[in-house]
Amino acid sequence: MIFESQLRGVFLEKGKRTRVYTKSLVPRVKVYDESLVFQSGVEYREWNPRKSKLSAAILKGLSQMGLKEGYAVLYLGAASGTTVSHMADIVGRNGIIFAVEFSLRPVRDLVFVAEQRKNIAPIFADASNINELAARISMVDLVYQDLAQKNQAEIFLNNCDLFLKDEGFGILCVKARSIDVAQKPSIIFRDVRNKLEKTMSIVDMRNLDPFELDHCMFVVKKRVK
Amino acid sequence: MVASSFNHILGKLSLSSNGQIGITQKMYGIDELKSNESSFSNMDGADKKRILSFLKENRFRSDFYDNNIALTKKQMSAYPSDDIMIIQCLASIEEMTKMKNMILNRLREWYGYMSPEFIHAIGNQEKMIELIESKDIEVLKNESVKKDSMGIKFLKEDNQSVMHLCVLYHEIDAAQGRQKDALIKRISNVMPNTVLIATPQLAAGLLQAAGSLRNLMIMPASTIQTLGAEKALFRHLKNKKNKSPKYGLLFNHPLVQQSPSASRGKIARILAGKISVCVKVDYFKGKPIAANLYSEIVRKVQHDL
Repeated sequence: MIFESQLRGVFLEKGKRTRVYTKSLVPRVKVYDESLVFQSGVEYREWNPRKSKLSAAILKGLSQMGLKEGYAVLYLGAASGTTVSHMADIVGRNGIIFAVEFSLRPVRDLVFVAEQRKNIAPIFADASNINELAARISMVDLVYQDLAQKNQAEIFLNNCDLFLKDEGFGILCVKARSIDVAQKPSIIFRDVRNKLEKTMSIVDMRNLDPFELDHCMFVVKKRVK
Repeated sequence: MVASSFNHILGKLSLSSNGQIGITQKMYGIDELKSNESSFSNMDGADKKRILSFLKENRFRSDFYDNNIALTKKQMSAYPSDDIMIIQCLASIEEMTKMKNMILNRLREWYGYMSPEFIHAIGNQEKMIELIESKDIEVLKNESVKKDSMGIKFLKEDNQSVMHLCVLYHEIDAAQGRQKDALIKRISNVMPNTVLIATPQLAAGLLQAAGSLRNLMIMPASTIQTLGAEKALFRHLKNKKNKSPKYGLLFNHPLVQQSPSASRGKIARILAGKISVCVKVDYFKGKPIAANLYSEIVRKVQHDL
């Protein structure tokens, strides 16, 4: 039995292994190789936690996501559009996801996903170039970032500073190995937390083990000045 | 509030002195959006936020979608692709080697049922395929009939099947030869200086390891030196007790191969340094400097030995 979780737009099915789903925005069309499941005339897409960090975080008990139907989202590090497609399912036809990716090959796949889901605007640009991004997007309700860069915290805070509405949520995936190859992940996460706390309120922090090793996800809220 | 206008994906955005925001529909290319004259970055922080919030409204979303997709597609097709083609070519060549080896192994297994003694005796793969092709069906029949041979009798069709594989092997071999020539031609064109110091094959390998010419250009010489030795490199970084690698792909360079073991590390380091200079010159399509650099390398190498 698939039921809606406490996170809007996110559906769960308990069993030997808990599964996560989103309601398919474009029925009968697969984005990657996800399973499509029918229940009471509604089609759901299975959200694979091994492929998508957000799904992994949800299975690790993520309490808040800051994502709602109709929202505008800035997604930094969209890659081929796996996680983006599920977010697109959640924000629905009236929402929009600005999917930013800097690497040529995945953007091609991202454009194909966007042609199916008309609420994804693919943007081939560098996430650290705020001014270039500003010419292509609007203010957003949520900033989601999943970049493998050494200065990922700085990029995240700069983008949130300009593009995130007041009291908007930000989600930052931290890949410890991109910041420092040898340092203990817990120390790296602590440093990132300190950087975030200067301008953001920490809402939640999830370690993504065993789905991703040495990864964690921070959920923050932008403080009104 | 200062009146200003700037280029935006939705068109020309204007901000009047009394705060009115207007949009004149226009399709800008990527260079026009990045242009400095009418720039978003020059605006006041508060104005920036006002405009961004204004654009958040539902009525603009359809245009955000249409215009961004159109621009992204244009960016894709305009992307400089020299290094992409070289990397694809090299990947193809490497795959063809694997294909050839697969066929040779299959031949060994299959033909071995008819002439196990022959297969057991012959080690060299090229010689094996040559001999298989040269023996006709009569000779084969005679061979498998030898006194205590373990060979099974092959029908004409079985023999034909084996010959098909031999034909396929030669086709792949010929195609691989053509790809190798094409690769050398292309990379000598795109990275003329690097190819002179690093040899075409190694230069292509370095490019593949880096992922793109731009990535290779940004790398310090020490990274170029260890490209291909990631296992050893990260083992060393995690625990300094492990030795750092002296070379990765660079190990296959003729100068490194020809030198005594004790000097190989030094030579790899010298080469990596000069290669990194060449890559930068090649990226920006600069003057031919490889000849000068090569004589410097030769001087340094002779000085050390």
